[in-house]
Amino acid sequence: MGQNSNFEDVYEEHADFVYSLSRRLSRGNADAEDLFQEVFLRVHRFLPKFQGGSVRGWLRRIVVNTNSSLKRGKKNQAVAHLDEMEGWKESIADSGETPDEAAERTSTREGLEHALAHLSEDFRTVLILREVEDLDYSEIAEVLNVPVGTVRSRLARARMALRKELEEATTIAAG
Amino acid sequence: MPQDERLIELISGSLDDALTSDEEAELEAALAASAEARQLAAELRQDRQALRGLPKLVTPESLKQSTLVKVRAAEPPVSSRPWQRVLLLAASMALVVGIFNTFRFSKATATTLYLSPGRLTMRTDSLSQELHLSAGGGTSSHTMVSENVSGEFLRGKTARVHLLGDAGAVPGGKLAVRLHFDFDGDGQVDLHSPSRVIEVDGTVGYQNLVCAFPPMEGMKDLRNGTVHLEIACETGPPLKLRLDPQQARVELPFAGLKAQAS
Repeated sequence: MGQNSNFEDVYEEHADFVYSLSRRLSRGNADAEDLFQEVFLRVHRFLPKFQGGSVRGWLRRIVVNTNSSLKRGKKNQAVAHLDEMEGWKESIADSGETPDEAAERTSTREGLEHALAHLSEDFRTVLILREVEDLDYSEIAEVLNVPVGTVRSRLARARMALRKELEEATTIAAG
Repeated sequence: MPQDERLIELISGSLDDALTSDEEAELEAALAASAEARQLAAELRQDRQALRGLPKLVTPESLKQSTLVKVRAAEPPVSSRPWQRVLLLAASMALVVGIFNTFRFSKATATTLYLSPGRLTMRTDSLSQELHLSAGGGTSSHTMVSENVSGEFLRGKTARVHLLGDAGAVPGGKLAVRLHFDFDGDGQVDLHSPSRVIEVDGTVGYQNLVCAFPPMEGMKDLRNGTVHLEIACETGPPLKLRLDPQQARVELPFAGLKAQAS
């Protein structure tokens, strides 16, 4: 796919990828939808200048960069509440689970989503790029424009921050 | 690095198969010696599996439709704008005038951007502000961006970053500084500078920190491009940076730097 890429083709093929990444990097529905729309506005604008290579890699960088730009404009935004995360159930692809399995997974997943939403943007982004996008350190370094050593140390701190959030949620639930 | 941080980094690295053989041995010894360490390793592995099990999401149809409506109502893509040729002609004329002026006047034109939170700016009238960076938690890095900036690349010149930093009386602080250039403003970074490390000693109070970048291959003129300055606290104590408009600045190898309102 190169300079002749058609916007509609890119949109059809990659909308779910951009949506998933936008949801994971954002703290709530409204932010994710703003991010999704802004990303595709930029894609539409700059697609003719896209020089080829991995469309998904190009989109991933646009999502991450756009997310940072939007966040700079919305500093000190309150953390989303769980009720803002309504809509997950409708938007999750069918996994073929039984209802009980699905209920248990939903409960675990919501806890995880909630904990992720409480992390700083830096931590959430590096975790999502590593664990959900399955990028290696050098790929993450390239997307985030940081040294590989920073990726390694930031991932370690992000994993501990997530652990702390999950532990706190467990303590509150038990208490 | 405190023992806990070291252990966490080793466990985290082991999850990614990113340890050297020495580090693997160090981790094995730490795990063998501590039940707490073993529990932490198991928990982090479990968290990782949970993250990897997050489901794929499907875009809601209403969002897909409303986005398409917005895109169609937006300005046309850059290469198909009907007035692009006019702009190109105007830009070419401006370039000719610019080159003429470069030769006509020996005095250098603007080559400096000033630091403010989140932004690099041409303005020097902003109030001095502080940034707090910490390698051990909180914000470890800060990126400042200048968009829609144009300037003619000056061959033989290099970039230089001036900062005012204070790490208190604790020595051993290290700041990593990097520049990133998107020369044509297409949203893709075209050139990453190498990372330059500044060591911050334990002098109390603000000190001038300067880092000079070597000449970089691939530098080009900026045409409504984007410049990012990234400052990361790599190790050491928490650090304050004062964004004093007179002293915190980036000198760039571009003549006639001009920022256009976005």
